[in-house]
Amino acid sequence: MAALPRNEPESERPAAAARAGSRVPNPAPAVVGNLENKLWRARDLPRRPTAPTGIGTGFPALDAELVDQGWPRAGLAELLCEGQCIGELRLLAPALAALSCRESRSIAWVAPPHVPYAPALAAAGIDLARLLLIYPRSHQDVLWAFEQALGTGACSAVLGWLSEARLRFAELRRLQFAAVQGRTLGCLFRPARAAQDASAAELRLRLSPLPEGRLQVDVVKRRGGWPLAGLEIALDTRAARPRWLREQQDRWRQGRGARMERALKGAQGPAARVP
Amino acid sequence: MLWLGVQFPMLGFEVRPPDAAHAECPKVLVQDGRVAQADERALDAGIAVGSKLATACSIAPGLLHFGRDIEAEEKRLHRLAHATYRYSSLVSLASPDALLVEARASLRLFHGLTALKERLAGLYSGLGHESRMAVAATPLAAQALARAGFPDDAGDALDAVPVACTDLSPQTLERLENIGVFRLGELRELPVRELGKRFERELTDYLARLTGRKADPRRAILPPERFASSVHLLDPIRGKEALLFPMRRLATELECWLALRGLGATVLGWTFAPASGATASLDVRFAEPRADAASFLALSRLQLDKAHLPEEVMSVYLRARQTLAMSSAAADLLALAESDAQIASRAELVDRLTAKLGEEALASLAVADDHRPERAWRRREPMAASPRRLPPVDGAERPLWLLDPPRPVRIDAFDLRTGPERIDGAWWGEGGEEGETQPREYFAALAESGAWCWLYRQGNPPNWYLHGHFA
Repeated sequence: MAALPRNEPESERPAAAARAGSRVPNPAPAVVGNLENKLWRARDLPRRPTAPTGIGTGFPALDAELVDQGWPRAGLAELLCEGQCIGELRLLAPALAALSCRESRSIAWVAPPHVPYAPALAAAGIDLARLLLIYPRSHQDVLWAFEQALGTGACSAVLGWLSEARLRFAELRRLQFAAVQGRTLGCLFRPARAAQDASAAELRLRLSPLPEGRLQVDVVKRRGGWPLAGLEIALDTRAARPRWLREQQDRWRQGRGARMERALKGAQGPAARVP
Repeated sequence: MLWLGVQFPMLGFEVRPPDAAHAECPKVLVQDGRVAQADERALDAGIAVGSKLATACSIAPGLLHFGRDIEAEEKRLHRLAHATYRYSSLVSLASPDALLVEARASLRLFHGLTALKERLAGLYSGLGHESRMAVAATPLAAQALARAGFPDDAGDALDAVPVACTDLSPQTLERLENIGVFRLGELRELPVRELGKRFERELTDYLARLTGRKADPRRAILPPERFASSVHLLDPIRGKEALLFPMRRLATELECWLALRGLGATVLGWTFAPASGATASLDVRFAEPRADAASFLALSRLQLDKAHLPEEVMSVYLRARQTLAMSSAAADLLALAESDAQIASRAELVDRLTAKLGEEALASLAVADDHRPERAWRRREPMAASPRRLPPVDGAERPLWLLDPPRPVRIDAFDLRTGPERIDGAWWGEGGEEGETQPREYFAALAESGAWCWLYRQGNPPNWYLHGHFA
């Protein structure tokens, strides 16, 4: 009923209204009024939510562009990297550190290409007790393990490296669905050329290296916003660490200085007493 | 004391494996050439218990008859008693087909008699048994009422119980029948002294115990120390899916046993045996002790997919190979409050992944106390106790990816940025390999592809190695 008047030519509308007369009220406003509550409009999306609903990335410039002010708490995020090892893990590390301290759930790494280096992870503030490394053999097993880790809700974040050649859209959809169901952040590392393909992921970032340890982040897809290109991020990992960790590490460094001083004094002490 | 008599009227049939093909036929159990037990269809056909097999066969031509397997019945009754032990600490056998359960002490825990009876009925039907229950103040009364089909002694039901439902010897029963006593009420009206004169002491003794005038202590069963059970099938099972039915029954039994011992299983051993030939075994491991049949089955199923089983399985065995005391640690209150979504624990995820991918596919990490970079970390079992948290060391920058082993590279392709950082080798000379005893100089370098690399040089003239990526 509501769609009917819209199809009529503009000139006929007043006539139709006159024909209907004042006795029969036009039903259109009532229907639209009912729909008003149920219709989701893009402008309803809070541009700046009062409290961040995502997991802070640790990089304020990036947080400001994301509707949750951080990584999605439940959903799949894709990191599309121009080349390998350009800083994709360093971009993620502050969020992982925050998750590992705040939640008792695990952080799973599915089929990592190299050995995640424990001392560096610990220094970034990631609690090693939370880590779970999964090394499935076949592509099917990787997908299965990824989906299990996402969907069971036993993990706060799952990082995955999948075989690009065999990845299908339907599989990405399954992963996104599992991530929402398990309230888990899923991170998928893919090459930059995958940016052209459609994906069900909630957030897609293309990363390319810039000189001097900076990273260019192009937002290929995000909730509540258009794609965005040319965001520059300085990957100063120390500055991105959570404040408590920085303070603790500062204390440790000061303590080490004091210890060394004491040790030096101790070494000199007996020698000084010798006449 | 309040006694709950539980009778299993069809026990003799139920110990036989289910036979779907002949579900419609009347069946009888035969002992010494006479019908010892008859199912409903057979009774409807007019077969009386105690009649000769030939008579029964002539009444119902399609009759199926089996020899009564008293040993199997006894075994099954024991198992039922052990399952019942979960609900009462005093469970006694009343052979051949009944249990006596002391209920008074369990009433409060299980919220009353009705709830307790419901639970027991659910337990028995889950194990595939029809049961009848009755409550009375003495064990013999409970047993007689259960056998006669009365729920309790309300309205002098005990007096209406046929004498044939008691445990008296056949000779005594026959003599009682001859003097025209058919019900317990008639028997109880007769003067005891005269009864004692005419019958043996057995009868007066029985009556005294029935009415509670004489103590009737019962021997309580003790649950077994180890769990081992089996299901033997009539027809071989070919598909893995179909195997889940006998497995579910065994898993439920194990759940009962674990509950009454307060244990959780960490290793289950399944054995699948064909009629002849080699058996197949399957061990299912859990990261944390488990005590529920559903998770036993879910994980066993994952492993069953990979396992090679005999083509035709005739028997399934289940053993609890390893058990641990269940920890009564409560779940995380905040995590529960946070979301109503199904949150599985780490152990459940680890179990599920291990079952499908194998144990070697899972690991966790820990920091090791060594200054050599390749030995500053170690693999850890995913469910091992979490390592002592070392203070957050913040020395020189370390890469997030480590290459194991280091890869020899040509230095031309790299642009050295920071360094050198000198790291000594195993100067005490027990590193084993040549590369580990020599000192190294580490550099952070930028590769042509834009990747940040961790390189080191070693030896003279220096060889360059790629040891990690600052990913």
